[in-house]
Amino acid sequence: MKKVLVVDDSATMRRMIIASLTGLGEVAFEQAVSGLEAIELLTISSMDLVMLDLNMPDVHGLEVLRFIRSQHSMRDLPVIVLTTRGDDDSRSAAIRAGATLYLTKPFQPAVIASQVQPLLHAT
Amino acid sequence: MRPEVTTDRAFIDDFIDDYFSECEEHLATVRRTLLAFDEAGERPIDPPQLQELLRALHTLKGLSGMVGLSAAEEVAHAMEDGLRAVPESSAVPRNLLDTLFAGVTRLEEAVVARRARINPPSPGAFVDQVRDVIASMQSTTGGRDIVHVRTEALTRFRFAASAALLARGVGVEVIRQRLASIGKIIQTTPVALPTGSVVFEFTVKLPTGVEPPDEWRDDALSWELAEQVMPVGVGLVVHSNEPMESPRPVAAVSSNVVRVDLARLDDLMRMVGELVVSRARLSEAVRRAHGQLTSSVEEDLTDANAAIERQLRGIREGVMRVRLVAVNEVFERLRFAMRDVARETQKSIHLEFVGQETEIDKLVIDRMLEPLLHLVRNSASHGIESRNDRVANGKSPDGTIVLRAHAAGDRIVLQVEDDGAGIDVLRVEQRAVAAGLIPPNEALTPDVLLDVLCSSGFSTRDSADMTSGRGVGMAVVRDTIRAIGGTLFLDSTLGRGTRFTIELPLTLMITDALVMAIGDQSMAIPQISLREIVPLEGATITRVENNEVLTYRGRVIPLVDLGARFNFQPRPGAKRHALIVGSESHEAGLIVDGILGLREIVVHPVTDPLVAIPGISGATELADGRVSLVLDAAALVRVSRERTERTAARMLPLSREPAATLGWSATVSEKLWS
Repeated sequence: MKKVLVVDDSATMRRMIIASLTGLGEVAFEQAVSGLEAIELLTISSMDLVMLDLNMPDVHGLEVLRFIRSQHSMRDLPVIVLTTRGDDDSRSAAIRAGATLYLTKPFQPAVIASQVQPLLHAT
Repeated sequence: MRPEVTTDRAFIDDFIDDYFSECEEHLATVRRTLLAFDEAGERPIDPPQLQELLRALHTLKGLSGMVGLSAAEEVAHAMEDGLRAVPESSAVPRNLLDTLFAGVTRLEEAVVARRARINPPSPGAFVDQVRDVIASMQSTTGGRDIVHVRTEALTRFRFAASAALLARGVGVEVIRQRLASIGKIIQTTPVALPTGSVVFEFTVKLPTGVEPPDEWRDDALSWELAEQVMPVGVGLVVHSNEPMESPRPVAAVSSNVVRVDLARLDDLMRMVGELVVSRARLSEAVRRAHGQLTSSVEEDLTDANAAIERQLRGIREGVMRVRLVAVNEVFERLRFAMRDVARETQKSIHLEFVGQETEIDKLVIDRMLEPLLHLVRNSASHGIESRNDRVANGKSPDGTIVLRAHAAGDRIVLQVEDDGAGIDVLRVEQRAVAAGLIPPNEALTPDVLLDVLCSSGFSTRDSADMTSGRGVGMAVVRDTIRAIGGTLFLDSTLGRGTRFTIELPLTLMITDALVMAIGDQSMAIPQISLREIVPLEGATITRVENNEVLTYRGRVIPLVDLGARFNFQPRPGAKRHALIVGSESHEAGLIVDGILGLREIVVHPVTDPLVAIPGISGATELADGRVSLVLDAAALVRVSRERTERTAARMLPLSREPAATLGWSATVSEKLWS
């Protein structure tokens, strides 16, 4: 069973993301409502993939990404940044910080699923 | 133009209700923060608040895009752009603030249109407007990335997260909320330890005298005084360089909240209601089986029945609590609306809230938004006088509107009170006569006054007249309140102000009630409205003109003979009792022919105006399947009161004391006249 961590401060958005990915077979979803909670969950249990929002209270998604890449155990963890378009600088910042993929909202469920699938099963 | 993303229709439909409710949350944040900026005036923007606002807009933008509501998406996007153009450490310019307020209205319109499945208004004009405002703002660029923090006595908290703690519900989000509840979180830093675990550092400004409770140390939380915080880069946090005051209220958004469609709760409540009736039938069957079963079987049945009753009560209260929300949510929306009115009318008006934490059924309070909005608008535009008039009359130049909420038994009382000009009863009377609404020379009783103000024939006759404004839509206001079993009252003093009081049921539906016999009928009365039950055998009853009064423990209590009032056949040889209802200062004794017992009943409101009878609040089904009417104690007290007053035929001076108890509303009639 693969474990995917969905990080987004919007409950509706988390549900939408999970609904988009439920067709991918045996996947367990963990949810974090903030960057803080994401870091907590990542240190406590191991994940196979992270769907990461950027614009969140207290700890920004980029900070979560930097934290992930600073940890030896998570250097190769696929992290898909999924953020609302409009932050022009954020794409390059996210890629520099180690994002595996950078996708924008609004998204099409099928597109997200097709992007996630190979990453999820490569690990 | 950005490429159009169309998401699957079915996918959108699955999430549309979530979208609506989450929108409400973010719109509330946007309104609250914009009002804070408005109040701040020329003071520089509070960065945490700005971040909160930007985040709310950002989320609105993202969610609106997901459900294909591009009008809202574009408006939110434009608002974000406008805010990001504000130079650091400066106030939000007035023209931008006005545009942002307009933007909130655009967002609301778009969401409403989506709900109604119609095309939302095009956002083009608004987007252009924001662009113009941005161009007009002189852009002083500053390094947004580095913000300096004042040296302050701060407390640094460290939380060592672990799986064991999380398993017992102590996660970093819980800790963050805990800290936000006692102080202002200035900075949050996750620190990775070489062991692979993580420690979260929170730098918190605590108000003087506030100490974190020692038992927090049990949750792997430690703290110490931190002298200084170094400036940090963007991404982690943004700091305030404004003098730090007491902590602002914690944002209402919380991670451990589940959203539930109200319709599902209604279904649940209805099913609980049906269960209550079935349980009553079971009770009745157990009672009838008495003597026909072996005693051990009967005992088991009785015990099981009692247990079901207890558990059912628990479920019922649980469901009811889930439906309760603080009225503050609606009050805040009124504050937002007030701003527009105050600007339109060039008046300076303070809006005060009292009891905004009072909880009320979500459905009830949602229906009250429009009526309250109307009353507040009326008070602002027609009640509160112009500055000059106020000063000339020796009042403070600024008007005040107070919104109050409090619980009174099984009712919730909402009030809109202004310190404005009050209603000129004589003029209303003349105009009502002229309009043919009341016969000449008839005294305008309080109920009739409200009727006149609420009649559409009266409302729009003269827009310059202050009372006419009160008429616009007042009929709708009263109908809306009545439709959910509420009552509207009016209290006004010429020159001093006007107060509208709305009494509402706390929740619809299930309650404990006393079932009693009146003539050949049985009726029910909610237990919570009962104060005492007095046997009338041997009691002292005196007749004063047409009214009977009971002298009991040194009090004189007016009596209402329910049998006579509802024209029921008298029951010979009945053991009559008086049910004492109302407040201590305004009570009444309702005469009944017998007490049948306490029952849990499901109240169905009687809202058809053709069958609306004063003193009846609804109907219920009893265990034997018969339908019984439910009495409205407050209305009956009022009836008794008015009758006594007609007898007394006098006019009392008006008092301006605030209503503190349920008794107040029953005294409207004597206070109305100055």
